[in-house]
Amino acid sequence: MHAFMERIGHMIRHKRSIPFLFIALGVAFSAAMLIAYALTGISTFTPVLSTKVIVMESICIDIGVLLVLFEVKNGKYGLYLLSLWTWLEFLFYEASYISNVLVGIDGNQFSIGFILTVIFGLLAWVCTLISAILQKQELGWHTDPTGKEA
Amino acid sequence: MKWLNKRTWRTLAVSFLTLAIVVSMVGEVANAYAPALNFALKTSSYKVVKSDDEQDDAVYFEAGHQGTEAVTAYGKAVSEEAEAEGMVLLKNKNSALPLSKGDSVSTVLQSAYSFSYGSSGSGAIDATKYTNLKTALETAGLAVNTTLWDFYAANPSRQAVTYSRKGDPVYKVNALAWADYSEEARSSIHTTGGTAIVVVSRLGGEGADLSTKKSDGYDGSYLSLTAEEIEILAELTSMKKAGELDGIVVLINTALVFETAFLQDDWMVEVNGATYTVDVDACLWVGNVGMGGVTAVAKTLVGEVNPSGKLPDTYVKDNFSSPAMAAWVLQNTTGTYAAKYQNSELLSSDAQTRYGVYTEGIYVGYRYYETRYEDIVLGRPGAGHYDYQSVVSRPFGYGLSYTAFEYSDYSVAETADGSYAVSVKVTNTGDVSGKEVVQIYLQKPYTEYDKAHGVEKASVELCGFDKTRMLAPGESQTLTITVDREQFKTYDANGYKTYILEAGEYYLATGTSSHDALNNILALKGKTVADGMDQDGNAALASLVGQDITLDTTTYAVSSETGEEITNRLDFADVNKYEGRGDNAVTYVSRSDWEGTFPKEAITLTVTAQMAEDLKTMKAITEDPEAEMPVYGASNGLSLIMLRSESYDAETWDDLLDQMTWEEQRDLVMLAGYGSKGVTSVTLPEIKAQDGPTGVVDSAEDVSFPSESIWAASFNLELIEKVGGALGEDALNVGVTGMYVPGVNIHRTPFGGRAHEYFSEDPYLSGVAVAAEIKGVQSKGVIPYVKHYAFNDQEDSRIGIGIWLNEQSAREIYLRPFEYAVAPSRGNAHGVMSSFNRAGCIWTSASSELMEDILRGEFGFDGVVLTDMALGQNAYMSYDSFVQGTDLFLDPTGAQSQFDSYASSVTFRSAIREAVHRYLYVIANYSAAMNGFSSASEIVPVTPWWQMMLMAAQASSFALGAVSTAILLLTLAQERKRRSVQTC
Repeated sequence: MHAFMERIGHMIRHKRSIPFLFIALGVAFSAAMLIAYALTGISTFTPVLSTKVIVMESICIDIGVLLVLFEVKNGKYGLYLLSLWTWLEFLFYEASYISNVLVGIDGNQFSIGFILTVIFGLLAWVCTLISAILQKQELGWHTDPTGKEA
Repeated sequence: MKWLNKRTWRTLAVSFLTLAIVVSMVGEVANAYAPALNFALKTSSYKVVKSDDEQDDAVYFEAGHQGTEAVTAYGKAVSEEAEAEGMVLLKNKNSALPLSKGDSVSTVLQSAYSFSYGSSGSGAIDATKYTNLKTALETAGLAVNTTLWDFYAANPSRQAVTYSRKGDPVYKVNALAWADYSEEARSSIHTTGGTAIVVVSRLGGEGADLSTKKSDGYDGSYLSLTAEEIEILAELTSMKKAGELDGIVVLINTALVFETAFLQDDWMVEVNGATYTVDVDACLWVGNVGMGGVTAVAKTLVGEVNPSGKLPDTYVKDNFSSPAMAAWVLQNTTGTYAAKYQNSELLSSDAQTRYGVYTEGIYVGYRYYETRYEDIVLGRPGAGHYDYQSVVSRPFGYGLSYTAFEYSDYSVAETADGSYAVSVKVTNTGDVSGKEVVQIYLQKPYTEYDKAHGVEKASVELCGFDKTRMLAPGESQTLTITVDREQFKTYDANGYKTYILEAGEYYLATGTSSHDALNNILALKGKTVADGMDQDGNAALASLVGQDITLDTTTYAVSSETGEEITNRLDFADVNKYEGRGDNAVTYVSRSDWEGTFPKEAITLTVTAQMAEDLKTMKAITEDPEAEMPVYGASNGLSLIMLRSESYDAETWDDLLDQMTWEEQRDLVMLAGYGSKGVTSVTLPEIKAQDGPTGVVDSAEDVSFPSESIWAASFNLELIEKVGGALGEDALNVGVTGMYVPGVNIHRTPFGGRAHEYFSEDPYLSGVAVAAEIKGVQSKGVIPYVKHYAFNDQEDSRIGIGIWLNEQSAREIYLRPFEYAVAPSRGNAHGVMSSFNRAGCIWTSASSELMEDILRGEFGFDGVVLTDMALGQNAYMSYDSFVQGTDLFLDPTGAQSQFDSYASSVTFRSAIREAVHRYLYVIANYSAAMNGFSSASEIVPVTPWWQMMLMAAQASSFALGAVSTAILLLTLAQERKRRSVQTC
């Protein structure tokens, strides 16, 4: 436990690498997507939120936090795939709403909440993917700002 | 191979797995929209397997024309014929029309180039391949000003609708100002000389009403001339007075009711501080012309066609003069229709918060304009200040001809069954052949009982008509029109609460318009110009009838179609009678006091607790103790075609329905958007349905017909039936056997956005016209879904708006066309589409009063009720509507998460089964989809190519992803092993 806390402390004091920033952003955007969805996801087209999307996004955030602490390149790729899947599940759940707006019969437009949810979700998996691509080390924990392992 | 390192395998694994996820999700969406995709890609998820039995070639419904070329040619010809008989000559000073072949013309205004053939929304068509106006005019023998035409080609119409931040639509013409015309274009009009043909068009489409303000019409609305159009007309007037032009002809190229103050001679109008004088010589209302209509327009301009149409609406000098419009403009500062409830914060959804009140009652269109006129002439108290001539430009039923007709030998004879045979001799006293429409109007007595009980009576109502054959100059024809005594009834919502026949003076009259007929009645009453009439009438063309009539409160208290009792069913939709109204109350317009009851202030309604409750959706179902859980999955060896011609109540229907699974029944009623899936257990083929009141949306060659109001204006029911048949044939040509046509809501105001899809302001004309069209469509085995039932007469907030109205106006005005459409003795339509809006607080589709009591019980409807578009519209659409008489949800996706929450209810399951029963009954007996089916035919599911492709892509990407991942893991394991060996 003491070693674990030391690692976190070391990470807080030293982590500044670009892959770290992107994975942190990815987690932040995942959380933002979840919050935006929770606050604005109920509409005339979807009177109940999608449990599947909420659960998947929560898992993404959990795994994301772990990957912020213990950067694992392959793990990040896995998170990216899960995050992409979650985002697509969200869009599928909103298919009726999207169809209605695109068909344009009623003059409905995309709400700000929906747009933000889509954008946050998109940025979540994009940032995660970028973090994974840029990470040079297989296991990125205990690195200092120069990228060397502690 | 160094490149086969972990980086490569990782890249491959991630790429393939990404592809697999994307393809999977695309596949899920595609499968959810499978019916729509099949329709678009012309594939099917079902295959019909036939036996060698000869009966496989059984054709239950025949198309008159086979193949796209023949169907298209026929459709175009019928389109031209409908336009030719429907367009209305509104003015023809000094016989400005017809023109002569060889005459020079300039087609003026951008709309000449951007001619309006159709509308947007469900009525949209692709008119890019249609003949343009210039070509049509040249083909007719006129010499067209090419310089001006080319100028407009470079500067086409910029009419458009934009949306404010709040989502309010604003239609604008954005016409080019005269100052922005090139010198070449302007001078070409001088040099061409001849006649200026000015095309005034206006767009329209579903989803938005036309703008009552903030537009660029000179009165602020979209349906009046803009400053630019006025200026150009004034310029043309100056040219005419200077001798540079022979005449000015205006074509009103829109299905919308356009303000026509400009038809006055030397019309003076002040716009933007300047005064203009416009003097138009002739005017033709041509509506939206459809595929072949522009040819008819050109032929009419040169006299090859003699116009014979009569207006299906009242054309006025002020589109805001009716009580309905007076209420509209009072309601909202934004100019949109719907008002918002006070206390709307009590409501859970925005779709519950809007309302409209039809305070005008029965006084829609000419029923207002003519009735108030009569009351002025009669000196009735409360008639107030009203000058008919300053308000009305062209009355309902008006229409000129290139020839002249004389009416004589008018007589009315009572028949054995109590009806009236009205005879009129029509003589062509002019110089060219032509057709004439004989219109018969009825006046019912406005009695003291009526005044005391809030029963309203219009001074004239159209009750019959006929059209002569083509009469040569000097030729005569006597028409005899039967007026059924049942048309003399009136709905008494407050006293007897049913239809009654009152004692009193009834009049039957003919005339060249509603106003002319009324003047004839007034003449028979002894009134003249001295009493305030605008012209003396002809008493010889009117008759006093019905002197034998005594108060009858029983004969019409039962339906003549079904024998069911007729009584108040819509108290819940009348503010003054709704139980949960609280302090809400409205004043309906009454001829007993026009001044006192004419709308003067906005109507404010406050949500009560009961209203909030009634506005909710997804309500609990009251279990029927006698309902039985249906049987599913039985093997009874039946197929749908075997039940063709079986009565609806035959027991074999139960045996057939028992064969279906719950999932099949659920999907059939839930996934009824643009058709339905095939059902293997009962051998129901895949059904395709499509939009398009004036043309099939996916027509092979974009066949389309003029706007419905043009058909109505023809007053030719045989022709309307022919149009219906042509529409049906075009549908069959692309495999469509269900059509979301026709629209029969009422032209309650000029600004209702979908007016182009509806027939008229008059319920009788709408009713007989729709019945004729339905006969034509159904004769081809195409099921029409008559829409929108009910009270969807404007577009603003149509999703969920609550329409409040009294029962008399509901029955006599808004429901009458539906009654004629579905009654077995008239249209006998087998499909109805319900509306987006509510009646009061209840979604129309969830009202058993509307669906069961009135539509089926009274009107005798034997078909299916389909909702309007149900793309996840849970704010107002409610599955408890299945128990109230709705059968199908128009949803191509079936993504309705709350449906299954009702599935445990036995009553609900029984209702679903009954809905399926109705649908199967209609398909078996009335649909061309059953052509070629015999008892040995089978439906088997097949996988269309796009589904196979998706599955293949999914499988291969997952497989490749799995392999890449496995190799990656192997590579990583090997690397770790190497490292640990090195460390050692």
